[in-house]
Amino acid sequence: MFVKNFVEKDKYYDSVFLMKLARNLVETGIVQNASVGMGTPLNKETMSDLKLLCKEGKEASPNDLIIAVSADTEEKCDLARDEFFKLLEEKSKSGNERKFRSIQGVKAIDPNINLAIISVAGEYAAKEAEKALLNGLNVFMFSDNVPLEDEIRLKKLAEEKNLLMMGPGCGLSFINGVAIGLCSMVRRGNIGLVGASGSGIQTVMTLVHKYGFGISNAIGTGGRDMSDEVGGITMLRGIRELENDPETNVIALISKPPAKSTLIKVVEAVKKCKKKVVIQFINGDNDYIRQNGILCSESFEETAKMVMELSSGKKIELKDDTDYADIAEDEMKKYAPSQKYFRSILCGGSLADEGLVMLEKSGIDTYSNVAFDKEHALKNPFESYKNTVIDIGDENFTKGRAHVAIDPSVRVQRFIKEARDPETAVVYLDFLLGYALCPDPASVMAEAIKQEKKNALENGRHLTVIATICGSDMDPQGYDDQYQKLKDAGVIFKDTNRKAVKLIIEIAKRMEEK
Amino acid sequence: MLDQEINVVGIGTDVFTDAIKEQGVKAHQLDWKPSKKTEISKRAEEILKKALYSNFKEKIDTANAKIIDIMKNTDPCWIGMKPAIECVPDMQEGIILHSGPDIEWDRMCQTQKEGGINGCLFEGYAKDRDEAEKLLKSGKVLFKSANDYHIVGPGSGIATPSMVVNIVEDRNTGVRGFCAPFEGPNRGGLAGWGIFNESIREHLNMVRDIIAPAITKILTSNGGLSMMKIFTRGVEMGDELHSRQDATGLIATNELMKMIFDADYVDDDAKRKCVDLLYGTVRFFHPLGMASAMSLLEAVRNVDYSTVVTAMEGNGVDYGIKVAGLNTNWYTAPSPKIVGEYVSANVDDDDVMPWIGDSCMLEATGLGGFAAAASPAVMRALEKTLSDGIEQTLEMSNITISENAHYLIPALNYQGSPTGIDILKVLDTGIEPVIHGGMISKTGKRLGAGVAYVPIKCFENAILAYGDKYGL
Repeated sequence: MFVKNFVEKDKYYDSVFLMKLARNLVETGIVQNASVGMGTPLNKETMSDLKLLCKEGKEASPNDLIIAVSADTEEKCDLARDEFFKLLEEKSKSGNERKFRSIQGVKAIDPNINLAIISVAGEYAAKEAEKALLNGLNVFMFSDNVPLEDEIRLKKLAEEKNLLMMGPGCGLSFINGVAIGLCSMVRRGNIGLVGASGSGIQTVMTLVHKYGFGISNAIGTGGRDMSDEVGGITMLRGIRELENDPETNVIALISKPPAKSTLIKVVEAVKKCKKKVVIQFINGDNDYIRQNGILCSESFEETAKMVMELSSGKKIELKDDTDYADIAEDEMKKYAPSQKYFRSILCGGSLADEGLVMLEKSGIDTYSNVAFDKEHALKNPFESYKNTVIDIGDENFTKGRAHVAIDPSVRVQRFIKEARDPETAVVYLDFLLGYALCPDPASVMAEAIKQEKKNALENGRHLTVIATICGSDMDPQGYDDQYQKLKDAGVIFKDTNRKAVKLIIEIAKRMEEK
Repeated sequence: MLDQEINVVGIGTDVFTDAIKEQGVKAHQLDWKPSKKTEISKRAEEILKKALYSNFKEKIDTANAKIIDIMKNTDPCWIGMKPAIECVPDMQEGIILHSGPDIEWDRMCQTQKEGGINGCLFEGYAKDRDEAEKLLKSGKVLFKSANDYHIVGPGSGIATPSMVVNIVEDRNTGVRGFCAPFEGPNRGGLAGWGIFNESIREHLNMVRDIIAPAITKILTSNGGLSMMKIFTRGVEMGDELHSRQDATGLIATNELMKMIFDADYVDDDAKRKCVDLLYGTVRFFHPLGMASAMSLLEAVRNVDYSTVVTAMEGNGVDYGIKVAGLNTNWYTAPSPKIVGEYVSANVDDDDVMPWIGDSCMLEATGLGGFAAAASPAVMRALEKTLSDGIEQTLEMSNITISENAHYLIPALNYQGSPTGIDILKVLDTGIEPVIHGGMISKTGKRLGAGVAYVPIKCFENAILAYGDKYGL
């Protein structure tokens, strides 16, 4: 065993920093033990205790650096000295990126923060939201699985503090021109939206945009806001905010049907509202709304049309397609006898809902993991049954992973499974664009579509794939590019969910007749 | 909110935060981690809610404002060095002091026991170790918490009647704090690590007979050495004053050298010894910082209703806090582990003593771990970056009542360090106060440096007592 001391005259380093370097030096495996320090009596004694102090080290002054090492050869000791300086150089370089652990920490540096986007696991989300509210921040909470009593408590706290509490389970908002959550970018204008229907709000936003109008603000409330227990706290606040917002001149409320007590509150609020309001409660009690003299819509397209007309005072015609029957006839000719059903696999929950309403009205028996009644509920969401609509953004599919609109791999698997089912004739896929969403959803699916269509042909079947895009030409994915990729993959493209479902109904009716 | 320019803080996945930034909008991403499971009892929760969200809060705020005022006006001044029995109130023959909260002999850690035994030997209370142990165990020699005597005891914190302590007086309040000087080249010596030998005896006697009288004369003739300006400059120059006193030490030395040289009333031999001690004592300034912290914390003790921590210390077994509104009672939990960097690679984790010592009184005044952002060097030593230090300081700002007007941190654009630990905020956020410190082995050897966190349990025990005292 060799022990060697290297003394660097008049070199100063912080002592505790040197301790760490000594440890790193040992970790290189070159030396058996090492101690590095300034030549103070204290350090010399420490080195002596470790049996690492030699004559050179003993003679060093407190202004000198001692590198004391032990190794099995003298060469290794010398090597360790060089290694030490290499480590020293490495350790002296360090990044300088700021990290903050608490909202108050960020606030200390940037007192103007005003919105917390919370997506931590449900069990922690409420605590973080409370801190955000107590710090005077509005909250957008994407997290779900938050206890109902926490939601109520947080929304009451937000009211006290005059803040917006969007969520839990809020998919998107569009505020002051900023797309928040999983949200499309659209032109700014004077149409204000509030509701609990992410893809529904996005459909209206993008339609309005397409026809040259714009959105002032769209406020998400979270799925449970309209329950008896929560009582529409965020919905009511949203109406008030939009009413007081000088940018907004017409308001639409878009949501699943509210609980009765909440419906009454919302209707009262709308009746008092100084601005024109359209209500679309998907599959809700429209008679009650109409009885109260409030404008009512039954589809996203109708909502878009109504708000644009109210905003402009002009008649707006939304163009419909005329080719539904032709396409249906054409496709029907190609199916094998085993092919009997359609399968919709949708990222947009409200798009699934809208489709289910249309299918029910057309008398097409459809099963779903988000069915309106028990009879049509799928026993197992992972297995389709006859005509099926899957909301693949449902928590059964998203538990423990990113939402399917962010990471679509779950849907690719499901698509392949459906495509290979000999009973499947039609698969319908929606593609959501916008910020924070998958950067290229068309490409993720295109290869599988091509492959499975080919595969079906080889097996004597014909697979119809219908696709729709919910997005705008201002979205980062590029609407035209996504459209082209889907067309190239061989899909039948429809530009809204309603049109796609209309085509499905045409095909499904013919199937039943057959 | 609709008319405000959006400025986001993201908590959770960075996908959303990045999407906001992509739009050219301001957004910060929190480095969020689940907070430690801070399960506190229902009763503690209830008191906390009442204290935070009822009219009672006004009483607390008023009391804590009083403390902020005292902290703002503190003016510590080093006025001398004297044997404890000559200057520490209530110090008597037959008393030996130790660091941390009171503890029975049988539960005490070996390092502290050694200190007590060696203290007896130094004072001549016992002829040998056995007799010393009997005296301490029987209570014939009282072995008590130094905190009750206004002494800060780093390490095992041994103080005996004839040992010299530095005296720091807060000129704003007249309250004094004490701390034994570091024992020159004798490692932690008797005061710090409870060890004793002939060279330590000689050194302590020399300090008592030559250094202390000389320094006291010099300080008196110069009207004392005012501390706060040195702290303020030092914090600007990279000291957090717990793990690092490089800047403050040099500034003080600069002043002292002139004082010593000018002192024609002190003989040359004594001057020489003073200079040698300053030169040979690494971190001689540390005890002056600690005594200053004590002079301030003593002044804020016994402010009714206040929820501010006035002491936090460990004895290697228990860790305890005191609270301004709760007299001088200790609220304790098992002493926390120190995690950090070792002197050598051959250190066994189990050999590291749980937190022992009073040096973390500094953290209670906004220094040490609370001023981490001021000290890139200390952060680097802990294998962290300045950013981590900034984050640590800002995180601690979640649990304090004020920003220190004296400790302005350049990296935070001269924002003051978070000062005055509020037990309510600690319990509300679940953030445990961070303390910087040295690691020693169970046998009293220096092992390295690191950080520890004051256990939340101390604060829970304190709020339970607070609820009882104030009827919450």
